[in-house]
Amino acid sequence: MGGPEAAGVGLLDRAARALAIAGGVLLVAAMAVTVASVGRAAFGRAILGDTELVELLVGVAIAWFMPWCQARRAHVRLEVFTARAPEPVRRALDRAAGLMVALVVALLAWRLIQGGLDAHERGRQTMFLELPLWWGYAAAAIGMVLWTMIALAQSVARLDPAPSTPRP
Amino acid sequence: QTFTFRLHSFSSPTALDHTMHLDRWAETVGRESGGRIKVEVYPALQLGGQARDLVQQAEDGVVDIIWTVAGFSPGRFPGTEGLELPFVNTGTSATMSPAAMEFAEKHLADTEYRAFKIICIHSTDRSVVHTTRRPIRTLEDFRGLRIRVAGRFIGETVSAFGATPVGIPLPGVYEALARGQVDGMMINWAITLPYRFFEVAKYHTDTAVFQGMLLTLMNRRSYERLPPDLRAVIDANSGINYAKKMGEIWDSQTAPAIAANRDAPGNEIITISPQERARWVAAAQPVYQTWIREMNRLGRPGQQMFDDLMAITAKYGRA
Amino acid sequence: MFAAIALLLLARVPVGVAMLLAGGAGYAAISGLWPLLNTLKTLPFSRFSSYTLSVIPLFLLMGEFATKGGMNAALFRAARAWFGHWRGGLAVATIGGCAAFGAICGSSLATAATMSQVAGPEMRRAGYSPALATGTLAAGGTLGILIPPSVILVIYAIYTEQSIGNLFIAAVIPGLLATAGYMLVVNLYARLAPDAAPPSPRLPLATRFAESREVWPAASVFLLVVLGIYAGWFSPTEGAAVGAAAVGLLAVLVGGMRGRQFVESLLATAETTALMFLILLGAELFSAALALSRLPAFVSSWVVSLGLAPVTVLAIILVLYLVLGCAMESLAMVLLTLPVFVPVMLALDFGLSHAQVLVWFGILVLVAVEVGMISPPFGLNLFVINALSKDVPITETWRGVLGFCASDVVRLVLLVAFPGLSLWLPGLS
Ligand code: NA
Ligand code: NA
Repeated sequence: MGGPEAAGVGLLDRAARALAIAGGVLLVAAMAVTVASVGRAAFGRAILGDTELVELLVGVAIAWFMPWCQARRAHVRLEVFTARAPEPVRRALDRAAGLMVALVVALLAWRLIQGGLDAHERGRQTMFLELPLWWGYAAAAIGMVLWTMIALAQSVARLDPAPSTPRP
Repeated sequence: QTFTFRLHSFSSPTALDHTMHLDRWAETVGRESGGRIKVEVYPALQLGGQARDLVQQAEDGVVDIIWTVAGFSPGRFPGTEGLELPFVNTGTSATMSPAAMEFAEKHLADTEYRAFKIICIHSTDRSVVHTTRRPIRTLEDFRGLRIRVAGRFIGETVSAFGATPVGIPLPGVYEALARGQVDGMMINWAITLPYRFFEVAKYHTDTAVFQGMLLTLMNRRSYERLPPDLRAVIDANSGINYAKKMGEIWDSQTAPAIAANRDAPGNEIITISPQERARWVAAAQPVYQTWIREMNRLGRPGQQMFDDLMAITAKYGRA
Repeated sequence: MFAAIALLLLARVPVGVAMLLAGGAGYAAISGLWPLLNTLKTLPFSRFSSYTLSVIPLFLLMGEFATKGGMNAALFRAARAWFGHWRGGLAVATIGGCAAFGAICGSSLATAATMSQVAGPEMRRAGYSPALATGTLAAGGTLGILIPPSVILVIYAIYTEQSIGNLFIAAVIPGLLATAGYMLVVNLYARLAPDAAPPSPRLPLATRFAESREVWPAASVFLLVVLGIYAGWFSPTEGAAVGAAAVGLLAVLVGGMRGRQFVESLLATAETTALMFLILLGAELFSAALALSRLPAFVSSWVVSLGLAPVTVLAIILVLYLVLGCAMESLAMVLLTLPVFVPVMLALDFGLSHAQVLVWFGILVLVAVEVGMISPPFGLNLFVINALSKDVPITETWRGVLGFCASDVVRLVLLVAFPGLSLWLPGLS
């Protein structure tokens, strides 16, 4: 896997990289909670609500991973059928596909934020630690918004005259 | 004009909840409405999400009707959690379910169920203690064990008994028991049959600690969309009498489940003396105070609700 | 909806987004726009924050730590020392590794992804053809779910009220058959295309042991995770966390992992996790739309109405799984189809008891849905493995996996013809 340069530089990409690293730290934290829980279980004790803490940490981490994956154009897609298509056709397709991704992601981000507001208003919480679910939604929303911005930037960037290069 | 409603649940389509309750309900409502109400049943979270999302799905009109366990939406039905407090229960589902409906209609319909038409709140059969390695004969045997529970106040009860509550989703419980991740669970008899928990949890202390609450709720706007004659069909298949009927069905599962547990190799069913049970009840008292405080905090008359809870359940019997 | 997905994929839309679009359109068409918008309030975060699925990022993190700590290189040197001179020796070793990993992991994607981190680059470095290397990894990944423990079997057991233990034991012989079949496929491939799997020289025994010395850190973590899960010290998610922590520690202490490599491992984990969960999210919405369409129920009543011979019906069901497997995630597919097929199976007379039919059918479903994960053109394992090997065109992966698919079909026929293969170990035959 190449360095960050490969994905091009820019403020959004740097933000995506930082958020992915932060998400990685959350994943490591979930790992630590789980290991601690195993360690305590070995002495006949359990951490109350460790699974719900892991769920929240990992859920936010995955949302924070999304912009980075988008910035790297790493989401799985089929390129084989169009690999030999003429350059203008491929660029047109990519422009349309990019816009579609941006729209879908924008929709997801909007609904997730609404879901977070609902969770806040309705007092949804976890079973044992009574952690408010809206914390998770609010944190995840950061990832979704950045994901939207990057997808949008990519779909617009494809309009510039530089030829679009297929993913290496 | 016909009305199509979607019913969503996390339960398996072959489970009692579907075959004896939801599927029949859908069929009965369809028949009695002369086919003008059509209920599509979606088991096993086929329409997506986790069990904890079901209530919100019904509130938002994603689906029209849901079936879920009250404890899966923590904090959403705090008053209903009162019905799951330890040792307030009546012992059988046929008595506890109408008690629950009576309490809910009196104290909860205008607060936590405002967005819903309550089809039915019914209870499980009695929940008892099942353990893998250490039999529970006295209160002291709980010390240091990890007990799987579903519900905040039962969690507090387990803590009050000296054990640690652990939250594991139902499908993961068998493995957690087999692997020793938990030492036991507090769960009703009937559920041990489909999940075959008796293969891994060998000791069963048969004293009714509590009864879980199962909710069948309909989006109120979906209900109010119906003309009066069709609302009457829904009304005829909901409420106290329907809850009592559900309770009788649940109770019919207790004996076969106990038999399966008793006959599984190496299993033992333990009974405790009334004196010992009184010690458990005494240990659980602080949990009541927690619930009353919680009600007060929400601006509801906690002590009055609790007294009424005890009175209504006592009227139907006491475990 | 399937046609819509195919079109979107042709238009270079990411797989997960294509499923979201087609599924969302289907959902809205049947249920209305607002129900769709409202379900999207909770669906994505629920999919991301699931305790059982958190095993995936944790195992991926473990794989990245192992890579940054140089552990997979050590494993490779040892594997080459012992198996390299065989025909397709490294690919055989990869299948073996997948089987061993499958014995601790219940997920096909996680097995494919993790083993790909360890074995993929090394097979390629040794000169294996991209087709054979990626095909082996995609197929090997399915052993994660064919060999117990397996998430799908747990769900199936609960659904049909059968013993989880019985189903796990019933899956042992079919799982070993799968491993042997895949190894045979590698061997045949290497025979037919010797250039695809260049052998390494046969090494003297002393050198083999010397080459194996650096394996102990990886081996001990592996043993810790395997034994720990079987001895009941921890659940799969806990095993993954303990494994990741141990490998991370070793990478720092032995492999010389420093801040920069640590950050790189987090970024690589982020990328792979994200691409997997976008697909999982898409699959969930798509499955919901399919359920709403009532297509499964329609198919069920139609099949029963035909009045065909039991074996013919079974064959139709299995072929249907193979076809559905093109576009759907295996767990979602099982959840969606069991309500249709289990009643059909129980209504037919195979000369077996109910328990026998249910256990047998469970194993057949398990195998059939797993073929879907590697059958071209659309298979989750294919996409993931291909995404992890960026320079390999997917046509190569398709070519490489065909032989494995053929062995899957042969095994499926064997399991249908001889129910004893599934029923003997649990004592049901
Ligand atoms: Na497995
Ligand atoms: Na496929």
